[in-house]
Order: sequence, then C-alpha cells, then structure tokens
Amino acid sequence: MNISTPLDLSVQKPQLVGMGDFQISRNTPLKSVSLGGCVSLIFVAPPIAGMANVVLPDSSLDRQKSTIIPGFFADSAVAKLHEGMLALAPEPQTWCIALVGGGQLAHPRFRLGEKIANAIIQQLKLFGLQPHKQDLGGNESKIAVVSPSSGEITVERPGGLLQIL
Amino acid sequence: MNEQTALIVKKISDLPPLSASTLAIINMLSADHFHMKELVNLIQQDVSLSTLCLKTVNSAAFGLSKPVDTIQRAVTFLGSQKLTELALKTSVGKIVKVRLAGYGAMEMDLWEHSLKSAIAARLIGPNIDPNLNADLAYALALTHDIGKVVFSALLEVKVRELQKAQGQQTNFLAIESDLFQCNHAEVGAMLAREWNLPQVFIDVIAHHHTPSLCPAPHRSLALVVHLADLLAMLSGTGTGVDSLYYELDPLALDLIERDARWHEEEIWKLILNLNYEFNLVLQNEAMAS
Ligand SMILES: [Fe+2]
Ligand SMILES: [Fe+2]
Repeated sequence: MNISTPLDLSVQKPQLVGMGDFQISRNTPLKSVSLGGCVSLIFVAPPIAGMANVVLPDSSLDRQKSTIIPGFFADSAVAKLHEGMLALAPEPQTWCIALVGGGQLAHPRFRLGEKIANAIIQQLKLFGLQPHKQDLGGNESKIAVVSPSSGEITVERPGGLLQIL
Repeated sequence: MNEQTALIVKKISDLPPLSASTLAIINMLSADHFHMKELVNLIQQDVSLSTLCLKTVNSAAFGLSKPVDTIQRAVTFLGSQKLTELALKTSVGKIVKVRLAGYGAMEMDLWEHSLKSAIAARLIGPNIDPNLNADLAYALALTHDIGKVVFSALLEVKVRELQKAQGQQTNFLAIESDLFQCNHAEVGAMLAREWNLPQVFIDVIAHHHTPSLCPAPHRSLALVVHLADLLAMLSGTGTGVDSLYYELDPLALDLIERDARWHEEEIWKLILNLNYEFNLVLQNEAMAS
C-alpha cells in the first residue's frame, strides 16, 4: 500500500491512480485514469481518502495476481481499501463510499461495468458497508477525483464537464 | 472542393510522413517476406531508428551484461518482432501522441489506446485465425484509429451538434457520418492511401468498426482489430467522448455467440492479461527513456 502525503499542501496536484491500482492518501487529491467500463471505488473520511480502480469482478480468476494487484478485482480491492482506511480513519461510520465509472458498451452482451459495481456492493456488505454515492453506467468514459481534505468527489466527463457527486 | 474536404486534405498534408524505414518494414510485413539482412540495411540508413535500437538493447530493461555497439548485433538481440514494434511505435507515436480536442482526448490517450489495441491484437490474433501474421495484426491495430488525428479537427467545429447527437444515439461512427458524411475510419483509410501503405492497411483501417464489410482477403484481420479495439475500450483505455460509443459488428457477435473462447469469463481473462502486458510495456518504455 502506498500512502501519499503532499510535500507542499498549497499545490494540491492530484496523484494519478492507474487502472487496477489502489492508493490511500492524506490530503493529496487522488485522480483516476479515464475509467471506461471500469469502476473507481472511493472511500473518504477527511483528511483521508482511498481509491481503487477496479477492472474485474472476481479474483478467483487469478488468485496470485490478486495479491500483486489487489486493486484490479472487486473482492481484493474492497478488502485492501477497507484495511488501509481502518488504519488511518478507524471509524467506518464516518466514511463516505462512492462508486464512479462502469460505462457500458452499446451492446448488452458487455455488462462488465454493472457486474463490477454489483460485485463491489456485495463485498462492501461483508464489511457492513454500502455506497453512499454513485455515478455509474452511461456510454462516456469518466474520471473520478477525490479531495481528502474537503471530502469532495468530482466526476469529470469527456469534454471537461465537471460535476460534484 | 468544399470547406470540409479542404480541411481534411490540409490536415493530412500537415502530418509528418512515416519514415522510409517504417514504410519498408510495413511493406515487408504485409508481403510476409521478412529478411534480417534487408532489415539491418534499412535500419542502418535510419539514424534515429539505429540509435533507438542500440538504446533499447543496452537499456536496463534488456539486462545484457556487455554493451552492444553494432546494429547487426542489436538486431540479433532484438529479433524481428521487437524491431518492427520499435520502428512502428516510433513512427506512429510521433503522429498519434497529440491532444485531440474534438474527441476530448488528452495528449497520450490515442497513443495508449493504439498501443493497447496492438498488444490485444497480438494476444487474440491466433484465436481468430491460426495462420494470421501476428506482427501484421499488431501493426494494423496500432494504426487503426489514425484517422482520428485528422477527424478531431472536424468535430471541434461542431461541438454542440455532436453533444446533441450523443444524447440521441449511441453509435459514434453513425454520428460522425451524419454530421460530416464521412467518418474517422474512412479518413484513416484516406491517410493510409496518401502514405502509400499496402492495401491491407487501407482495408482494415476503413473497416475496423465494420469488419463484415471488409474485402474477404483482409476480413479476419479486420475482425481481430475490431475486437482488439473493443478490449482496449472495455479495459478502460479509450480516447474520450467516443469511448464505448461503438457497436459490435455482426461478425464479432457471431464469434462471441458460438466460440467458447469468447465467453464472458474468457473475456475477463483476456482483459486481465491485456492490462498486465500493457503495464509491462509502459514500464519498459519508461525505463528505456
Ligand atoms: Fe475507431
Ligand atoms: Fe479504436
């Protein structure tokens, strides 16, 4: 797990979280890559925030990889983020949990985004948690940004359209 | 010539041409006629490619104990697959590493999408046709969206119309055609023709969203590129406003219906391997530079 702290609090340049990566941050905003069909799972409890960009619903596909890249799968991502958050923000009732992304390809055969989101929700339940905010589905590829200090989650759509979740 | 055609023609002529060595490599690939000796000659004539070859074999990622200082030896270490990749990545990278305002794509988006599609094409190529030339599939996928570099300028002019159209339908190719009477696949094929690329490039670029309409000899390659493009988008590496706004071709649908290798879980595994390979390539590139 990487815990990032900013060198200069006034700069607030977000740290980019890649596909399948997860990151927990104190103060430094976290920004996902463009999510496509993937789902960004976000935990925030100011001044701490965590983000995992989940690509697949289930780590049973490759247990070994789930230990190397836990952020890649819904189950391992939830477990790791939960563990990391508990260490820095020990009161889960104060956490805000959000899901962003999960874009759908025009053809109904590919409901990957929906499946990832459902898998995350199932996994959260195991910890007695549930998402409070969601921006899922649609055809656009979204980018999520979370500011740990304000707790604000912003969703960026292609063309630069910004929305506070 | 109307304003739009003039803009396309101007944009095409503004682009840097492919290097002579890349073009020669592409021709060798398409003709399935590959000679190491010819290749060494070609590379020796191209200063920047020679430098890159030497830099790559001597990089930490390659892990050789003694430095390599001749092209001949570098070529032996690299092998034909790596060499064609290097040549293509350099040439194509110069053209597609640009911000595409019309698509809402950042500077590296089209490059990463192209590279991921190319890696995907190599991965799935043998599943679709065991006799397929995997290096050629790689080259085609790397160049499949080249038309976007030009088409972006058209989209920029009609931002509002584009947004309105996207609220009404979910096939980006049809939206492009409705607004401009042509689309990025067709413009890509124009570009391929302008660069004197072999016919297989013209056909596959033109039909990467519609492989069932591709002339028969190149249809399976077009299908590979179509599916590789889909995998890149599904795994989160698209190019902006159009990501996920494409339809599956009937040929791809048919394959997915009847072939167990395209069942959902198998597609997930493909995505996993693809992301893994893609990250390795990005890491090696970062190390080499
Ligand atoms: Fe395309
Ligand atoms: Fe594409």
